[in-house]
Amino acid sequence: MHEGRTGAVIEARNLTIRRGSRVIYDDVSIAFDSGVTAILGPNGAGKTTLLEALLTPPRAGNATIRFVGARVDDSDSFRAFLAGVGYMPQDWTYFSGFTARESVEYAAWLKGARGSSVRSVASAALDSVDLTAFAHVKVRRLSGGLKQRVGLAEAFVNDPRAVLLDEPTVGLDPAQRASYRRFLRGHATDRAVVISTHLTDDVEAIADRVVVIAAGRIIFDGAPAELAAHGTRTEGTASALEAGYLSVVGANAPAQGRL
Amino acid sequence: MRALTLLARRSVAPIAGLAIAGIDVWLASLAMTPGMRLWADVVTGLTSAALPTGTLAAGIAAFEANRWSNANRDRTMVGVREPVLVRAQHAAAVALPVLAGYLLALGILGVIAALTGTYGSPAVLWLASLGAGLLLATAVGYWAGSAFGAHWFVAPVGALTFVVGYVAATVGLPVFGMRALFPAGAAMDSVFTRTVDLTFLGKSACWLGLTVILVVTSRGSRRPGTARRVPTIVVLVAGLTAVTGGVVVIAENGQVTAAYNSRDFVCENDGFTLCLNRGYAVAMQPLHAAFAALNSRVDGTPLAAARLEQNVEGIGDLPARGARSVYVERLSSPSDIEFAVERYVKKYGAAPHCGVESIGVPAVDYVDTWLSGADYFSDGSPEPARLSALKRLSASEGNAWFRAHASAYFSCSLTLADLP
Amino acid sequence: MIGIRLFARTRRWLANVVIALATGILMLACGPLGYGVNPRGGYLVELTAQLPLLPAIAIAASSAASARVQERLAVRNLVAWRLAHVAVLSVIAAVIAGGTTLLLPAPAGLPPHSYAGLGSLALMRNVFALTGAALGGSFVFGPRLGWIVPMGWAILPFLAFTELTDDAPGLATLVLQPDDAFAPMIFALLVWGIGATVAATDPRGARPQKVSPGHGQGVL
Repeated sequence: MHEGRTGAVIEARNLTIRRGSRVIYDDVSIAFDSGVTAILGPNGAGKTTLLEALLTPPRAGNATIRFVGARVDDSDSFRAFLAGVGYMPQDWTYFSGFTARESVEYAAWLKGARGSSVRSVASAALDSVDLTAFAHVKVRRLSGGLKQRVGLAEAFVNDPRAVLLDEPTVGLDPAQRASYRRFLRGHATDRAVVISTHLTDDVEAIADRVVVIAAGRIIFDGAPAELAAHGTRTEGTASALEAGYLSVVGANAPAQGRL
Repeated sequence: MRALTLLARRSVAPIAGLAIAGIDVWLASLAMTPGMRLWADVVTGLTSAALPTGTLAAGIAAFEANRWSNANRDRTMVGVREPVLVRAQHAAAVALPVLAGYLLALGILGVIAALTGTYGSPAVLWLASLGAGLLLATAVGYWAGSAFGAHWFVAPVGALTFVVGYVAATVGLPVFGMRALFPAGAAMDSVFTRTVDLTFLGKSACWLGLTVILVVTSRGSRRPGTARRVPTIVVLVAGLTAVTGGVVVIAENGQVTAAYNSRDFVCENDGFTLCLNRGYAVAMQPLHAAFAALNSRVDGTPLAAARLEQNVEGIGDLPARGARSVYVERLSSPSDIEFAVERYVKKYGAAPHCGVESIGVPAVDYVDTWLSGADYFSDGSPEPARLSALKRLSASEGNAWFRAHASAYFSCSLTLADLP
Repeated sequence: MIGIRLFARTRRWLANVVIALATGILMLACGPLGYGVNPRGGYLVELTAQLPLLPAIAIAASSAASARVQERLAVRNLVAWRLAHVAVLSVIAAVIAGGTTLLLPAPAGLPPHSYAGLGSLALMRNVFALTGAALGGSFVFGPRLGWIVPMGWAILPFLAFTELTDDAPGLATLVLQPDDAFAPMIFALLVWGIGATVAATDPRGARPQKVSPGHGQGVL
């Protein structure tokens, strides 16, 4: 387990989240280093909730959130935290009147860019996701894959130390997914990239580390190969990693109520 | 039915229905004639509430239709069920809670009426037409909400459409019958009227027909390139119903009430007979006392009241042979009783003989004021000395003075010099 | 400057200014038009008094962020920007509404610029009051249903009261109160202040987003 590591880029300790009487997370601690970490888990396991909790330290209850070693517990540290993180939610929204360039420029401005740097950092971000050719097209007119890239450019526009991406490859065609993975792999050397997903082939392709969440607990935390070693491939499973994932989740599933 | 319930539960329409119930009950309670409990007032209040409840229904329906159609349009188009039926089902899921809110209000008001002994009975066709009007308002909003993409302005535009329609109908249409076709409008029900049923039947038919047309023609109700038989037949039938209803309303010139005295009286016979409608019985004691005081001053003259019957002032004011009309509408303060006596004095006293000149005959005015027991100078301005002198007379002195000057009074030749 | 321009576009400034101008034109077109709503009351509701509903609803609707997640995670403190947005558009709408009144001919017997009792001050007050109510309504019911509160305020009291004087403080019937009504003016500014504050500091910006199917959802 990677609990309480002082060198982590982003870290949550003793995270407890409740929705009414339902406990989503009960005293969970987790840390993310540089590299790609994939969070795997069944639907409704709380992957998005975990990302949201990491992104809103003031609302994380009694949990301790650390960012690059510093505790996020006042307005100055929260500001530094916001300046250093990028996020693309599952239901990424945009202003329909904006072009791709304007959308990324607005994100840059929100992240504190000033004057001409707004334009330059937005150009760099668009370039990094191969969107320069579509910079002047309204976002609403872009295809689903290109829209995802605009979201990705927004998440990276402030050159963040930590980037959290919620189901970023859902709905993309194989070529787009490959391009997406290449981008993430290339931008994970000096930053923590955390992707929430339920696609094991994403994990296999780019993740350095995989965390499996189920029923409000971390049930696996290790390298993808270690997860793959947990399972035995049977008919119906696409890969060893998927078999390992199913094995880990199955072993921790409640006796009833799961397919 | 299960799908309908499910759709309704997932919308804000049930909350709107509760709000509509609240507005209806509140405005119906405010419409109550002070001192009285009359069903006619409840109906008046509910009629007034048609503007805000219709506006709310139209706005909420626009919101729900917009939200639903943009999320489900493609799904509906590739579904097995006819889009028009799916659309109608969703429209019903929005309309039913709205209508239920109105019915809830009627239920609450009915219970209150039963507990408080409210007089009369509700005009059923009138209330039914209000329900039909609410459905039309919902359909107008639904149609508008389906017509647009997911824009922020759709819901308020749906609501504003209803308000603008109300204003346009109120100030823009010269023919009253056409104005009455708008599903909200100010109209008063009264104990001394009867409802014109044909108008309400026409309204209900017209509004329900239009409701159906709006729902089946809302965007997304038709699968492109397929037969349109069902909607066409429905539209034709609904259109015919709406036109027939509209023609009836216009033919009736939108008239919803006609003067009518049910003569459902409760009478008190003590020196003279005072008959009040049963719903106004609470006014009997103070009104009888006021007319007894008047009679003590005018006894032996044509102004003395022998049999008084409550009636409606104006058209339909037809008291029984030998009876005179008395008008009382409210009982919130003593001045309401004084006003009833004053109107009696003005109707049966000198004023009709003086014609328009009565205003220029202060002596007659002073006498009428004295007889009414009214105090028109309570605003602090000094009371004329002649009037004060009249008021100082005892009952017997006053009666003696009035009998002596009755002929001058009734011929409108009374002068200030005649006053004590 | 580029950031301000983009922020203003997300708040639909152009559409808001057009709506404010259209409202002014409607006020001129409607003139002394009034309509009765209450069969038990004798007074007419002047349409001009209610027309500020249009810019008020538009301003409140435009105050909702389109790119909510991006704004929630912004380094910039957007409270001041949101407040400025509401303030600037309210002032523009108020100035247009108030200025329009100066162009309305006063009917005989009334002093100039106090046409039907509703002068520039009254209409500017109505803009602020109804905008504040719409912003408060958006906070409570959401930006697409925020119109319920100002519309209720502009219509319901005239069905409840049979005379303007029945509403002694003049707060419920605020939109029809004359220029020199002091309490309604103070109340209008108070309502606007509360509405603008909740719109600028709406904590829901920090609430985890509701998960919905599909990616890349445009907000119109």
